[in-house]
Amino acid sequence: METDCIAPARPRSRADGWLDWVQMATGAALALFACMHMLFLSSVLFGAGALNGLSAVMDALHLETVGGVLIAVVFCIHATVAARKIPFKAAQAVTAWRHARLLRHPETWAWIAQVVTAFIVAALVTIHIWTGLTDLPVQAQKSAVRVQFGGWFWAYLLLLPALALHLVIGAWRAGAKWGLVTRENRAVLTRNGLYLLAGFLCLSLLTLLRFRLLPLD
Amino acid sequence: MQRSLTFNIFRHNPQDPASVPRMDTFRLDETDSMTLFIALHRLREEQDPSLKFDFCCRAGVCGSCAMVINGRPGLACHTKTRDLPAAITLLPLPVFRLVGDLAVDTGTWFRAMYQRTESWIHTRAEFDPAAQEARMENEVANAIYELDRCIECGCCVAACGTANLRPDFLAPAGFIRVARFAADPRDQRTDADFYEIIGSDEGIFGCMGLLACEDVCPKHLPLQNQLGYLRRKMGLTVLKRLLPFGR
Ligand code: HEM
Ligand code: SF4
Ligand code: SF4
Ligand code: FES
Repeated sequence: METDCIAPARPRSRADGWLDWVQMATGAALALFACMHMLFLSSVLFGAGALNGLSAVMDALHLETVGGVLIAVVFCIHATVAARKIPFKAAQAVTAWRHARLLRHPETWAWIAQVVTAFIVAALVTIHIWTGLTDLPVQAQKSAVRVQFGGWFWAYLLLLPALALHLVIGAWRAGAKWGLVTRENRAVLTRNGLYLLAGFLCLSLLTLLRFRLLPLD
Repeated sequence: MQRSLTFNIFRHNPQDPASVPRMDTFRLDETDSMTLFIALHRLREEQDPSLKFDFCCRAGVCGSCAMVINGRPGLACHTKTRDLPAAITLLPLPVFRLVGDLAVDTGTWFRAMYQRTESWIHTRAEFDPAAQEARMENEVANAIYELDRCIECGCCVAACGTANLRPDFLAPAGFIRVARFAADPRDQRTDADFYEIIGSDEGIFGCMGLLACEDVCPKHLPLQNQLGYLRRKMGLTVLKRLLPFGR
């Protein structure tokens, strides 16, 4: 009798269980942070003074430096741990792509979207963190200069939708994996996820536009 | 109005070194309440006697007739042609070994899965042939039955992105097996024992939560909810090892 269809199980270790926790926890932490980050920056919609005021308070508490470095570390850990799931080998990538095309299944496509956006987020957020942290505190005018002259407008125009997709799909899938998204509430949570995606996109793009049009003195 | 159906069917005989995988096209007039089971039999009888596909119960019970129907794994005997467009593409299930054309060998895969999950009641209780069978609450029996209804068709395995990417993945059918024994009070295995079977990336931590399995299972087994349950159970097992009394 042949039993070679499934490779023999390798010796057990706890690493996979731990890494799965770390992947979910860092993803969730980054997602929460990204939402707060966006709310914070969108205060610029009420004028440069609102953002600068908030920023001054946070800087006085050293939240911007300490928080920034912490988030950078979490970001690196998440990228490293989650990248285990990316089909990097050409043959795997082709299999994943063909599988998604054949199946025409929304959640399977969503996963492909998450992998693709991961690359965009990884590249642009790395640069973004560097420019941000080397130029603290956050001030509306400094950001506006970057958006109006530094070419960042286009980078953000790519990054914001990519991040929104990666974050919302990631949160939904983490919920599905750990059993928060159940057969019973799946339709409702999917709809709410799409609202969240739309809300995230609207608010972040409005904020970007505000920076673009902010008068520089 | 009667439709004329076009079938695009995958053809290949892996036993024959000269055989090259290809798609063959067949035409057939649709009849009332036609299923893919009926259509394929007519194609074989009327057009090409060499066409290979598996059938047995033709009632969605045996699980032999699963194939990829217009992109989605499903049971041919359960699929009415009137629910499909006039162009129908049939492929064998991926992941499993190809026997020929639409027929795949699910048996070897499931056999190996049963061995890997140790799909039997593990108990230290002595068996007493004279004793009455132990009683079980109806609710428990129903819960076990709900997880035991898998017909081993392999649709969920074929639809699973992870199973397509890595052949060592235990896959949804394997997880539902484990869930079935985890729900059975007669099985004395602990969470730590189950962790040995599914606590890895080839096991439950490899599941990416895409829910394709949930969406294609023709018997509507509660795959989604059980996958989440098993992940929490195994995740907690790892966390518990941190505690001094959890080891
Ligand atoms: C601020 C940035 C980011 C946020 C908010 C974020 C958020 C998330 C969340 C919530 C998840 C779901 C976690 C889970 O399924 O357990 C996730 C998964 C994932 N993340 Fe990120 N992430 C970010 C950056 C990145 C980067 C830079 C990469 C690049 C390598 C990446 C790659 C992935 C991948 C591949 C997955 C899917 C893992 C799987 O298939 O199970 N993420 N992310
Ligand atoms: S939910 Fe998990 S087991 Fe089911 S198809 Fe997706 S990856 Fe496979
Ligand atoms: S769980 Fe459902 S799809 Fe998977 S093998 Fe069993 S019956 Fe088929
Ligand atoms: S022939 Fe038995 S399930 Fe289709």
